[in-house]
Amino acid sequence: MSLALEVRGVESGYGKIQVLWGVDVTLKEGSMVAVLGPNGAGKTTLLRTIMGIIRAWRGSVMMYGLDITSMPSHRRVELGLTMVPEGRRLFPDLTVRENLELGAYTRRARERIGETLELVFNLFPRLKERLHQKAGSLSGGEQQMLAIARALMTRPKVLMLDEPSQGLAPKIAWEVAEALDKIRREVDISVILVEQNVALALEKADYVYLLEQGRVVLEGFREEVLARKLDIVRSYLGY
Amino acid sequence: MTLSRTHILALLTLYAIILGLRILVEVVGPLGPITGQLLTLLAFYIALGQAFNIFLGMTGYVDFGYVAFMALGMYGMASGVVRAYEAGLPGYYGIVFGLIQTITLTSLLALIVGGIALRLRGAYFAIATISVNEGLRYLVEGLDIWEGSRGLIVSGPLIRLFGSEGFSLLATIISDIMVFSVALLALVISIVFLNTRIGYALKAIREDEDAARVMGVNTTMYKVLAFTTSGILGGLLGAAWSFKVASIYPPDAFNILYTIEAIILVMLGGAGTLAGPIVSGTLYGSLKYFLAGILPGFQLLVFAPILVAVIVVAPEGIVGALRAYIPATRRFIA
Repeated sequence: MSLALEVRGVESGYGKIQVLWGVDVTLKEGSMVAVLGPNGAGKTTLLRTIMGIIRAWRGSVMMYGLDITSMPSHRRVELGLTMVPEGRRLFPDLTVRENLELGAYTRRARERIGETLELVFNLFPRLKERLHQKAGSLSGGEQQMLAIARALMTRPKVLMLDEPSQGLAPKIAWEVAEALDKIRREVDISVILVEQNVALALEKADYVYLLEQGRVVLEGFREEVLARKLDIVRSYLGY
Repeated sequence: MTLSRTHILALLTLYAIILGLRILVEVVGPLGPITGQLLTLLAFYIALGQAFNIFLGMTGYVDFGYVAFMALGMYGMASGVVRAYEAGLPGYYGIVFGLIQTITLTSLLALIVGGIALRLRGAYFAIATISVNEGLRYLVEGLDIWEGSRGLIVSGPLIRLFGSEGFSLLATIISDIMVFSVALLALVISIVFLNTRIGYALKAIREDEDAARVMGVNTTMYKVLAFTTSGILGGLLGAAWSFKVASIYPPDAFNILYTIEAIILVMLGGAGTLAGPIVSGTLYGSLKYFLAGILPGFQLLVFAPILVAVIVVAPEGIVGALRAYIPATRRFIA
């Protein structure tokens, strides 16, 4: 199986403050990797570095064998990488339809916009009903669905999600997770999921990384990690 | 917002009315309170709003140094004319040379400032641009460029080059039409932007820049594009206006008041709307013109509460509010 994403020894941060201290993450094609860890562990920073929104100080990021470490974000999107940012970051004053259309911004995505819209409506029928409503007027769960749908409009091969369950009722969070399963069944896609909801992430991911203070402290397949649940609890509680 | 033929037709009609009035007044004289001076003022404010709208309205970034582009345009045109006169060349050489100087200087300034400062977000960008305007002003004074603080005298060379009759036409109707052409050019460019991928990119940037990046928008490039376009148009406006002033002094040319007026115009009409600058330019220009007769010196005092009211009651501006509250207007007002 080829590697969708290979992160090697990445260090990065903001200004003079270093957040990541040599992180290795591997994403196999078609799999879903979960990145767990307490607040401030560097999960969002890791995604932002992979996306190219912040620069990697050291190390490398490869996508399908291509070195994208110093490539600007918009070119990474063109190659098939995108993310659903933390807090969804929809365009609240624009309609559902306008949000989706803006998602299909790159030339590659624009050529297939009709086909992708159909796919997205098939995945999230509720969005089709709310097509002309403003994004800001949707419920939390619907907004998260729209954020994921907007990301899918870019025709990604690698999709990164930053805490999709944030601010959602537990039942709705599981609905979002079910939607992710459905996406993986219907689209050729590899997923990196950053989550606070550990139970949800452990249920859905194939492989798990536990990040602590900018380093990977534990990794393994779902079953291996499930057997070491205590380590995760300890990490979150900080002792 | 997708632009229809009706939208574009409505906009062009509004422009045609004001330009038609200006020419009519030139031929038959003032029509009651509508004088040539009033229409000059309207053309200036419409052009200022329409040109600044391309940057402030479409990206949501505030440029407090916008007047620097106008100043460079005034100096670019005036020094071109003066140079042609000194070299003994015919007048139109000076105008062509002035236009080249204006476009070169303003695009250079936009690319340098934009390339550096547009990497900053929101408020930080605004702060950086204030210093650009003030810095340029003191540069002109300190290095004694374009006669420095003594002022660049333009009327003399213009009269020698074009004769006193030609000069008076140039200072009135001809420069009015030039100002008007800048407004029209800004409108056409705005329409082109909105109807292409550029419009999509700018809309995404204005709504949420981080989200725009993960959708594949080259945010820096589009911000620089909008900034440079808006800046060159501001320069052309300054160039057209330079025929109306006898001499140019740095404190007048770099007066931050024009930046504030540009911000008022864009916000009052509705940021990012196409009809906004026509509505706000007409309203602001007329109020300023008539208030100058009734309450001289109090214009800004009257405008402050109006602007506050607009931001509180209709943050989307007059045109934005019209479109929101009277849905029927959406078909022809963009």
